[in-house]
Amino acid sequence: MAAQARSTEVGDSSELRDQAAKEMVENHPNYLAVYTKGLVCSSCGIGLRIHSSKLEGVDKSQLTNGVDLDVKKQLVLVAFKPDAAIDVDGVREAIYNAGYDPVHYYIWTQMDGIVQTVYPVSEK
Amino acid sequence: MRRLIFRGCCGGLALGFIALSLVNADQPIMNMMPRWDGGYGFQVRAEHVHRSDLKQGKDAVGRGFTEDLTQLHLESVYTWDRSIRLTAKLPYVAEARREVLGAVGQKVVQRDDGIGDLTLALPLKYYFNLDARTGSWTLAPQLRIPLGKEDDEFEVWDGVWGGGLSLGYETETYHWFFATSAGFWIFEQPEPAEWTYSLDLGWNAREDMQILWESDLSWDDENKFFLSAGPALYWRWNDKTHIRIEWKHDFVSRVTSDRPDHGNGDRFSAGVGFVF
Repeated sequence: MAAQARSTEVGDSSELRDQAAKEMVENHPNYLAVYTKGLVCSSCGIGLRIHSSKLEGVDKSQLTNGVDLDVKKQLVLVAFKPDAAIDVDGVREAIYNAGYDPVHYYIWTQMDGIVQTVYPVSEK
Repeated sequence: MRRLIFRGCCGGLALGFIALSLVNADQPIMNMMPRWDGGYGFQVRAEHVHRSDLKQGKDAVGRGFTEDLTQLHLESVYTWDRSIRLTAKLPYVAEARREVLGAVGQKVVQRDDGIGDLTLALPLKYYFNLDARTGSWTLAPQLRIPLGKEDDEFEVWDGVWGGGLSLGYETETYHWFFATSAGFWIFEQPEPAEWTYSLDLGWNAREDMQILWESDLSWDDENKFFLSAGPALYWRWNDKTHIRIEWKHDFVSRVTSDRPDHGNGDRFSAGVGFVF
Protein backbone atom coordinates (compact mmCIF):
# COMPACT_ATOMS: atom_id res chain seq x y z
CA MET A 1 0.00 0.00 0.00
CA ALA A 2 1.51 3.31 -1.06
CA ALA A 3 0.32 5.05 2.04
CA GLN A 4 0.65 5.08 5.76
CA ALA A 5 -2.43 4.93 7.91
CA ARG A 6 -3.19 7.34 10.67
CA SER A 7 -6.01 6.62 13.01
CA THR A 8 -6.86 10.18 13.95
CA GLU A 9 -7.41 13.61 12.51
CA VAL A 10 -10.42 13.19 10.33
CA GLY A 11 -10.94 16.88 10.91
CA ASP A 12 -13.74 17.41 8.39
CA SER A 13 -16.30 20.02 9.23
CA SER A 14 -18.98 18.06 7.44
CA GLU A 15 -19.90 15.15 9.64
CA LEU A 16 -22.37 13.92 7.07
CA ARG A 17 -19.69 13.63 4.45
CA ASP A 18 -17.34 12.00 6.89
CA GLN A 19 -19.99 9.49 7.85
CA ALA A 20 -20.86 8.81 4.22
CA ALA A 21 -17.22 8.18 3.36
CA LYS A 22 -16.88 5.71 6.22
CA GLU A 23 -20.02 3.87 5.17
CA MET A 24 -18.69 3.64 1.62
CA VAL A 25 -15.54 1.80 2.61
CA GLU A 26 -16.82 -0.15 5.60
CA ASN A 27 -16.39 -3.88 5.06
CA HIS A 28 -14.64 -3.14 1.75
CA PRO A 29 -10.92 -3.48 2.45
CA ASN A 30 -10.15 -2.80 -1.21
CA TYR A 31 -12.06 0.46 -1.45
CA LEU A 32 -10.59 3.93 -1.15
CA ALA A 33 -12.86 6.94 -0.57
CA VAL A 34 -11.55 10.47 -1.06
CA TYR A 35 -13.08 13.77 -0.04
CA THR A 36 -12.40 15.80 -3.16
CA LYS A 37 -12.77 19.54 -2.82
CA GLY A 38 -14.64 21.11 -5.72
CA LEU A 39 -16.35 17.97 -6.97
CA VAL A 40 -19.88 19.33 -7.25
CA CYS A 41 -20.71 18.49 -10.86
CA SER A 42 -20.73 14.94 -12.12
CA SER A 43 -20.29 15.99 -15.74
CA CYS A 44 -17.18 17.99 -14.89
CA GLY A 45 -15.90 15.07 -12.84
CA ILE A 46 -15.81 12.66 -15.75
CA GLY A 47 -12.05 13.05 -15.86
CA LEU A 48 -11.88 11.61 -12.36
CA ARG A 49 -13.38 8.39 -13.62
CA ILE A 50 -11.18 8.40 -16.72
CA HIS A 51 -7.94 8.95 -14.81
CA SER A 52 -8.72 6.76 -11.80
CA SER A 53 -9.99 3.80 -13.78
CA LYS A 54 -6.68 3.68 -15.67
CA LEU A 55 -4.71 3.04 -12.48
CA GLU A 56 -3.12 -0.35 -12.12
CA GLY A 57 -5.10 -2.63 -9.87
CA VAL A 58 -8.46 -0.84 -10.19
CA ASP A 59 -11.30 -3.36 -10.32
CA LYS A 60 -13.42 -2.22 -13.27
CA SER A 61 -15.98 -4.90 -12.59
CA GLN A 62 -17.07 -3.00 -9.49
CA LEU A 63 -18.83 0.34 -9.14
CA THR A 64 -18.92 2.24 -12.44
CA ASN A 65 -15.82 1.08 -14.25
CA GLY A 66 -14.13 0.88 -10.86
CA VAL A 67 -14.99 4.42 -9.78
CA ASP A 68 -18.07 6.09 -8.29
CA LEU A 69 -18.64 9.81 -7.83
CA ASP A 70 -20.87 11.31 -5.14
CA VAL A 71 -21.03 14.96 -6.12
CA LYS A 72 -23.52 15.77 -3.39
CA LYS A 73 -20.96 14.91 -0.73
CA GLN A 74 -17.87 15.52 -2.89
CA LEU A 75 -16.63 11.97 -2.54
CA VAL A 76 -14.76 9.73 -4.94
CA LEU A 77 -14.83 5.98 -4.37
CA VAL A 78 -12.28 3.73 -6.09
CA ALA A 79 -12.39 -0.07 -5.98
CA PHE A 80 -9.17 -2.06 -6.23
CA LYS A 81 -8.80 -5.76 -6.98
CA PRO A 82 -8.47 -8.01 -3.91
CA ASP A 83 -4.88 -8.88 -4.72
CA ALA A 84 -3.85 -5.31 -5.58
CA ALA A 85 -2.46 -2.64 -3.31
CA ILE A 86 -4.53 0.48 -2.79
CA ASP A 87 -2.61 3.08 -4.74
CA VAL A 88 -3.37 6.19 -2.71
CA ASP A 89 -0.64 8.20 -4.41
CA GLY A 90 -1.98 7.25 -7.82
CA VAL A 91 -5.53 8.23 -6.90
CA ARG A 92 -4.31 11.51 -5.46
CA GLU A 93 -2.51 12.33 -8.70
CA ALA A 94 -5.48 11.25 -10.79
CA ILE A 95 -7.78 13.54 -8.84
CA TYR A 96 -5.43 16.47 -9.18
CA ASN A 97 -4.95 15.87 -12.90
CA ALA A 98 -8.70 15.79 -13.30
CA GLY A 99 -8.88 19.33 -11.98
CA TYR A 100 -9.76 18.80 -8.32
CA ASP A 101 -8.07 18.90 -4.94
CA PRO A 102 -8.02 15.73 -2.83
CA VAL A 103 -8.30 16.37 0.89
CA HIS A 104 -9.11 13.29 2.99
CA TYR A 105 -8.62 9.61 2.20
CA TYR A 106 -10.57 6.81 3.86
CA ILE A 107 -9.87 3.08 3.96
CA TRP A 108 -11.31 0.27 6.05
CA THR A 109 -8.83 -1.90 7.88
CA GLN A 110 -10.02 -5.44 8.24
CA MET A 111 -7.83 -6.19 11.24
CA ASP A 112 -9.20 -3.40 13.40
CA GLY A 113 -12.59 -3.18 11.79
CA ILE A 114 -12.40 0.61 11.73
CA VAL A 115 -12.15 3.27 9.08
CA GLN A 116 -8.93 5.22 9.05
CA THR A 117 -7.88 8.39 7.38
CA VAL A 118 -4.78 7.84 5.32
CA TYR A 119 -2.38 10.21 3.64
CA PRO A 120 -0.44 9.62 0.46
CA VAL A 121 3.29 9.23 0.89
CA SER A 122 3.86 12.39 -1.12
CA GLU A 123 1.80 14.43 1.33
CA LYS A 124 3.47 13.31 4.48
CA MET B 1 -17.98 34.60 -30.48
CA ARG B 2 -19.59 34.45 -33.80
CA ARG B 3 -19.78 37.28 -36.22
CA LEU B 4 -21.72 37.22 -39.41
CA ILE B 5 -21.05 39.85 -41.99
CA PHE B 6 -23.09 40.48 -45.06
CA ARG B 7 -21.42 42.47 -47.75
CA GLY B 8 -22.14 43.53 -51.23
CA CYS B 9 -24.88 45.37 -53.00
CA CYS B 10 -27.78 44.61 -55.21
CA GLY B 11 -29.32 46.28 -58.22
CA GLY B 12 -26.92 49.17 -58.14
CA LEU B 13 -27.63 50.03 -54.53
CA ALA B 14 -24.34 50.84 -52.85
CA LEU B 15 -25.46 49.41 -49.59
CA GLY B 16 -23.17 47.38 -47.44
CA PHE B 17 -25.04 44.94 -45.27
CA ILE B 18 -23.29 44.15 -42.04
CA ALA B 19 -25.00 42.23 -39.32
CA LEU B 20 -23.91 40.95 -36.00
CA SER B 21 -25.21 37.60 -35.05
CA LEU B 22 -25.97 36.59 -31.56
CA VAL B 23 -22.74 36.45 -29.71
CA ASN B 24 -21.66 33.57 -27.62
CA ALA B 25 -18.48 34.10 -25.63
CA ASP B 26 -18.49 30.60 -24.20
CA GLN B 27 -15.79 28.21 -25.20
CA PRO B 28 -16.53 24.74 -26.54
CA ILE B 29 -17.25 21.95 -25.76
CA MET B 30 -19.09 22.70 -22.59
CA ASN B 31 -17.96 25.34 -20.18
CA MET B 32 -16.36 23.00 -17.68
CA MET B 33 -15.27 20.16 -19.93
CA PRO B 34 -12.83 18.65 -20.39
CA ARG B 35 -10.99 19.99 -17.33
CA TRP B 36 -8.78 16.92 -17.06
CA ASP B 37 -5.23 16.47 -18.37
CA GLY B 38 -5.18 15.05 -21.87
CA GLY B 39 -8.94 15.46 -22.26
CA TYR B 40 -10.31 16.13 -25.71
CA GLY B 41 -13.60 16.32 -27.46
CA PHE B 42 -15.60 17.59 -30.37
CA GLN B 43 -19.07 18.88 -30.87
CA VAL B 44 -21.37 19.10 -33.86
CA ARG B 45 -23.95 21.81 -33.57
CA ALA B 46 -26.77 22.76 -35.91
CA GLU B 47 -27.94 26.35 -35.76
CA HIS B 48 -30.81 28.16 -37.39
CA VAL B 49 -31.25 31.92 -37.25
CA HIS B 50 -34.36 33.70 -38.44
CA ARG B 51 -34.57 37.47 -38.55
CA SER B 52 -37.87 38.99 -39.47
CA ASP B 53 -37.21 42.62 -40.35
CA LEU B 54 -34.87 44.88 -42.23
CA LYS B 55 -33.86 47.70 -39.92
CA GLN B 56 -31.90 50.91 -39.95
CA GLY B 57 -30.86 52.10 -36.55
CA LYS B 58 -33.76 51.27 -34.24
CA ASP B 59 -36.43 51.44 -36.95
CA ALA B 60 -37.74 48.77 -39.27
CA VAL B 61 -37.43 49.96 -42.85
CA GLY B 62 -38.61 46.73 -44.42
CA ARG B 63 -41.01 44.61 -42.44
CA GLY B 64 -41.19 41.09 -43.78
CA PHE B 65 -37.75 41.33 -45.37
CA THR B 66 -36.43 38.20 -43.69
CA GLU B 67 -33.18 36.38 -43.48
CA ASP B 68 -32.65 32.74 -42.58
CA LEU B 69 -29.31 31.13 -41.84
CA THR B 70 -28.75 27.43 -41.31
CA GLN B 71 -25.27 26.47 -40.24
CA LEU B 72 -23.41 23.46 -38.95
CA HIS B 73 -20.59 24.09 -36.51
CA LEU B 74 -17.77 21.65 -35.88
CA GLU B 75 -16.04 22.53 -32.63
CA SER B 76 -13.17 20.76 -30.93
CA VAL B 77 -11.12 21.11 -27.77
CA TYR B 78 -7.95 19.67 -26.29
CA THR B 79 -6.82 20.13 -22.67
CA TRP B 80 -3.10 19.83 -21.97
CA ASP B 81 -3.64 20.23 -18.30
CA ARG B 82 -6.35 21.98 -16.37
CA SER B 83 -4.82 25.38 -17.06
CA ILE B 84 -4.32 25.25 -20.85
CA ARG B 85 -6.73 24.36 -23.63
CA LEU B 86 -6.86 24.74 -27.38
CA THR B 87 -10.19 25.12 -29.11
CA ALA B 88 -11.18 25.32 -32.76
CA LYS B 89 -14.50 26.25 -34.31
CA LEU B 90 -15.31 25.82 -37.97
CA PRO B 91 -18.74 26.76 -39.34
CA TYR B 92 -20.36 25.49 -42.50
CA VAL B 93 -23.16 27.51 -44.01
CA ALA B 94 -25.66 24.93 -45.18
CA GLU B 95 -28.09 27.50 -46.45
CA ALA B 96 -28.33 31.25 -46.09
CA ARG B 97 -31.09 33.32 -47.60
CA ARG B 98 -31.94 36.96 -47.16
CA GLU B 99 -34.34 39.45 -48.67
CA VAL B 100 -33.05 42.92 -49.38
CA LEU B 101 -34.27 46.05 -51.05
CA GLY B 102 -33.67 46.24 -54.78
CA ALA B 103 -32.94 49.35 -56.82
CA VAL B 104 -36.61 50.30 -57.18
CA GLY B 105 -37.73 49.04 -53.79
CA GLN B 106 -38.49 45.51 -54.89
CA LYS B 107 -37.64 42.46 -52.81
CA VAL B 108 -34.44 40.76 -53.93
CA VAL B 109 -33.35 37.36 -52.65
CA GLN B 110 -29.68 36.57 -52.07
CA ARG B 111 -28.12 33.27 -51.02
CA ASP B 112 -24.86 31.92 -49.67
CA ASP B 113 -23.37 28.62 -48.60
CA GLY B 114 -20.02 26.99 -47.94
CA ILE B 115 -17.28 26.93 -45.29
CA GLY B 116 -16.98 29.90 -42.98
CA ASP B 117 -14.01 31.29 -41.08
CA LEU B 118 -12.03 29.27 -38.57
CA THR B 119 -11.72 30.50 -34.98
CA LEU B 120 -8.86 29.26 -32.82
CA ALA B 121 -8.61 30.03 -29.12
CA LEU B 122 -6.14 29.29 -26.36
CA PRO B 123 -8.14 29.47 -23.12
CA LEU B 124 -5.85 29.80 -20.11
CA LYS B 125 -7.76 28.71 -17.04
CA TYR B 126 -7.20 29.10 -13.35
CA TYR B 127 -9.37 26.63 -11.44
CA PHE B 128 -10.26 26.97 -7.80
CA ASN B 129 -11.85 24.34 -5.61
CA LEU B 130 -13.67 25.39 -2.47
CA ASP B 131 -15.82 23.57 0.01
CA ALA B 132 -18.95 22.64 -2.00
CA ARG B 133 -18.05 24.99 -4.85
CA THR B 134 -15.71 25.03 -7.81
CA GLY B 135 -14.97 27.50 -10.55
CA SER B 136 -12.46 29.06 -12.83
CA TRP B 137 -11.13 32.26 -14.32
CA THR B 138 -10.42 32.17 -18.03
CA LEU B 139 -8.30 34.38 -20.25
CA ALA B 140 -8.73 33.39 -23.88
CA PRO B 141 -6.77 34.91 -26.76
CA GLN B 142 -8.51 34.11 -30.04
CA LEU B 143 -7.67 34.19 -33.71
CA ARG B 144 -10.00 34.37 -36.70
CA ILE B 145 -8.63 32.77 -39.86
CA PRO B 146 -10.43 33.57 -43.11
CA LEU B 147 -11.42 30.41 -44.94
CA GLY B 148 -14.70 31.45 -46.48
CA LYS B 149 -14.71 32.35 -50.14
CA GLU B 150 -16.10 35.56 -51.53
CA ASP B 151 -18.06 34.39 -54.54
CA ASP B 152 -21.32 36.29 -54.48
CA GLU B 153 -23.12 39.30 -53.06
CA PHE B 154 -24.05 37.63 -49.82
CA GLU B 155 -21.24 36.42 -47.58
CA VAL B 156 -22.25 35.13 -44.18
CA TRP B 157 -18.64 35.09 -43.01
CA ASP B 158 -16.53 38.11 -43.70
CA GLY B 159 -13.31 36.39 -44.76
CA VAL B 160 -10.89 38.65 -42.90
CA TRP B 161 -8.30 38.07 -40.22
CA GLY B 162 -9.22 38.96 -36.69
CA GLY B 163 -7.89 38.80 -33.16
CA GLY B 164 -9.79 38.72 -29.92
CA LEU B 165 -9.42 38.42 -26.20
CA SER B 166 -11.98 37.38 -23.62
CA LEU B 167 -12.00 37.20 -19.85
CA GLY B 168 -14.42 34.87 -18.12
CA TYR B 169 -15.44 33.73 -14.69
CA GLU B 170 -17.62 30.78 -13.80
CA THR B 171 -18.54 28.99 -10.65
CA GLU B 172 -20.76 26.05 -9.77
CA THR B 173 -22.26 24.40 -6.73
CA TYR B 174 -24.24 21.19 -6.51
CA HIS B 175 -27.39 23.12 -7.43
CA TRP B 176 -26.33 26.30 -9.22
CA PHE B 177 -24.15 27.52 -12.04
CA PHE B 178 -23.03 31.06 -12.85
CA ALA B 179 -20.83 32.26 -15.68
CA THR B 180 -19.93 35.63 -17.08
CA SER B 181 -17.57 36.68 -19.81
CA ALA B 182 -16.46 39.85 -21.59
CA GLY B 183 -14.37 40.19 -24.69
CA PHE B 184 -13.51 42.12 -27.78
CA TRP B 185 -12.53 41.45 -31.39
CA ILE B 186 -10.46 43.51 -33.80
CA PHE B 187 -10.66 42.75 -37.51
CA GLU B 188 -8.93 43.81 -40.64
CA GLN B 189 -10.15 47.13 -42.00
CA PRO B 190 -12.79 48.15 -42.81
CA GLU B 191 -14.57 45.73 -40.49
CA PRO B 192 -15.51 47.32 -37.18
CA ALA B 193 -14.21 46.15 -33.85
CA GLU B 194 -16.79 44.56 -31.57
CA TRP B 195 -17.29 43.93 -27.90
CA THR B 196 -19.23 41.17 -26.20
CA TYR B 197 -20.58 40.31 -22.80
CA SER B 198 -22.41 37.21 -21.65
CA LEU B 199 -24.17 36.25 -18.43
CA ASP B 200 -25.39 32.69 -17.82
CA LEU B 201 -27.35 31.38 -14.87
CA GLY B 202 -27.95 27.67 -14.47
CA TRP B 203 -29.83 25.27 -12.26
CA ASN B 204 -28.73 21.67 -11.95
CA ALA B 205 -32.13 20.04 -12.18
CA ARG B 206 -30.51 16.61 -11.95
CA GLU B 207 -26.95 15.42 -11.76
CA ASP B 208 -27.03 14.86 -15.51
CA MET B 209 -29.14 17.87 -16.49
CA GLN B 210 -28.70 21.60 -16.31
CA ILE B 211 -31.25 24.27 -17.23
CA LEU B 212 -29.86 27.68 -18.05
CA TRP B 213 -30.89 31.20 -18.86
CA GLU B 214 -28.29 32.81 -21.06
CA SER B 215 -27.94 36.46 -22.01
CA ASP B 216 -25.60 37.93 -24.61
CA LEU B 217 -24.74 41.54 -25.32
CA SER B 218 -22.78 42.66 -28.34
CA TRP B 219 -21.99 46.01 -29.82
CA ASP B 220 -19.50 47.45 -32.25
CA ASP B 221 -18.01 50.78 -33.17
CA GLU B 222 -20.67 51.35 -35.83
CA ASN B 223 -23.21 51.75 -33.04
CA LYS B 224 -24.84 48.36 -33.38
CA PHE B 225 -26.22 46.89 -30.21
CA PHE B 226 -27.78 43.47 -29.71
CA LEU B 227 -29.26 42.03 -26.53
CA SER B 228 -30.26 38.40 -26.87
CA ALA B 229 -31.39 35.98 -24.24
CA GLY B 230 -33.13 32.68 -23.83
CA PRO B 231 -33.15 29.26 -22.21
CA ALA B 232 -30.73 26.39 -22.77
CA LEU B 233 -30.74 22.76 -21.74
CA TYR B 234 -27.70 20.57 -21.18
CA TRP B 235 -28.07 16.82 -20.79
CA ARG B 236 -25.36 14.24 -20.17
CA TRP B 237 -26.35 11.13 -22.06
CA ASN B 238 -23.34 9.28 -20.66
CA ASP B 239 -19.74 10.10 -19.75
CA LYS B 240 -18.79 10.51 -23.38
CA THR B 241 -21.92 11.92 -24.97
CA HIS B 242 -23.41 15.29 -24.15
CA ILE B 243 -26.37 17.12 -25.63
CA ARG B 244 -27.22 20.78 -25.55
CA ILE B 245 -30.09 22.75 -27.04
CA GLU B 246 -30.72 26.46 -26.77
CA TRP B 247 -32.95 29.19 -28.04
CA LYS B 248 -32.31 32.90 -27.98
CA HIS B 249 -34.42 35.89 -28.92
CA ASP B 250 -33.22 39.35 -29.89
CA PHE B 251 -34.83 41.54 -27.27
CA VAL B 252 -32.90 44.53 -28.56
CA SER B 253 -31.44 44.68 -32.06
CA ARG B 254 -30.25 48.10 -33.04
CA VAL B 255 -28.30 48.14 -36.28
CA THR B 256 -26.19 50.93 -37.66
CA SER B 257 -28.07 53.97 -38.88
CA ASP B 258 -25.87 54.21 -41.97
CA ARG B 259 -27.51 51.38 -43.90
CA PRO B 260 -30.20 48.71 -43.67
CA ASP B 261 -29.53 45.48 -41.83
CA HIS B 262 -31.62 42.61 -40.50
CA GLY B 263 -32.79 42.41 -36.92
CA ASN B 264 -35.50 41.11 -34.60
CA GLY B 265 -34.25 37.57 -34.73
CA ASP B 266 -34.44 34.21 -33.07
CA ARG B 267 -31.76 31.57 -32.92
CA PHE B 268 -32.18 27.87 -32.25
CA SER B 269 -29.21 25.62 -31.73
CA ALA B 270 -28.89 21.90 -31.01
CA GLY B 271 -25.62 20.10 -30.57
CA VAL B 272 -24.13 16.81 -29.54
CA GLY B 273 -20.64 16.66 -28.06
CA PHE B 274 -18.26 13.82 -27.33
CA VAL B 275 -15.49 14.03 -24.75
CA PHE B 276 -12.75 11.54 -23.96
